[in-house]
Amino acid sequence: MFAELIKAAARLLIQQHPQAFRNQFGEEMQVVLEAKLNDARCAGRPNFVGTCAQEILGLFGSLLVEQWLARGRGEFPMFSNDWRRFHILSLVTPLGLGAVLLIVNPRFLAKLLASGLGWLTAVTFVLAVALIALTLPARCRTPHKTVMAALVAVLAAACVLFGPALVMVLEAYPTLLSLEYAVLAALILADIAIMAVIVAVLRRGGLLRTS
Amino acid sequence: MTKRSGLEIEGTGALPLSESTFFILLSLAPEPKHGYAIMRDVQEMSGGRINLSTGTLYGAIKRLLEQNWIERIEHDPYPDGRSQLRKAYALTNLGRRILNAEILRLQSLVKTARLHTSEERA
Repeated sequence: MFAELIKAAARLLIQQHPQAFRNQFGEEMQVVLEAKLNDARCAGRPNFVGTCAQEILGLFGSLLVEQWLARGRGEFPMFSNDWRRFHILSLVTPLGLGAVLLIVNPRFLAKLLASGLGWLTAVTFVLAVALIALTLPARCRTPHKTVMAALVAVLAAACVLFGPALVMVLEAYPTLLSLEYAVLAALILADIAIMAVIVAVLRRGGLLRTS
Repeated sequence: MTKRSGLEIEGTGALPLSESTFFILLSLAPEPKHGYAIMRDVQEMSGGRINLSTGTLYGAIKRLLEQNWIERIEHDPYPDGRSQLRKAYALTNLGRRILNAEILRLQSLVKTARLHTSEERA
């Protein structure tokens, strides 16, 4: 199970490498990685865990280096072919997880949303904006886009305050927690609204366009 | 970024090699090998000190291919289809010259170091 998870994570990281690199080495890297993990598994658990950590870190490092080099060549390395799938996945995954939690333990989800989702949204978008801006070719990084990126950063900062503010409200008015579903719906709507604003700003700034 | 060429062997551009690059080229010196064999070879030759991850190895391979120090060839160690790795890497003439130049450079360093340390003892 753990090995499968690591292989899936490694596959995902390999898929995020620039297209040219992936076409040249992607398949081979997966075969080598599987062989290495199988050998490490035979050598005992500590060895296996160490190898997994090393492989994931190594792939992450090479991902950053190759994306950076591709950017230097003026390519649009990120989201170059399957960016739509990437965006859909990034939206579907949290919503799917949210749906499961909603069924299993709505109260926990309400608290989780109040304390974490605003913050997580902020971090995710700040990272996304930084990565997109970094991987844009120099000719596309106009002052206009810089202003847009700054605006997004401000919105993201607002998201950071969103979580703690909600916690404070819930602490001040604990009766709100008894209205689990209403609070939950409000939180989800608020978070979606924030994400929608950020995506709209990104689109307006051209930061989500790939060609 | 300029590509390193054979003309730089005698100059300062190509040498010294990084330890990983040196071991990768050294691993390919006797015969062509596929990625995993290179990885195991490097680990063995360095006494377990250098343990290349898949990402690091293929990043290095990509740069060595770009510099024309190694080439990609069709190579199946098990023609009965046991091996999934059909591509292997081999040293080019340029790569071999660079490896030899690095070995000479290291030999010269060791010689100098030995000379000085033996003088100090005497």
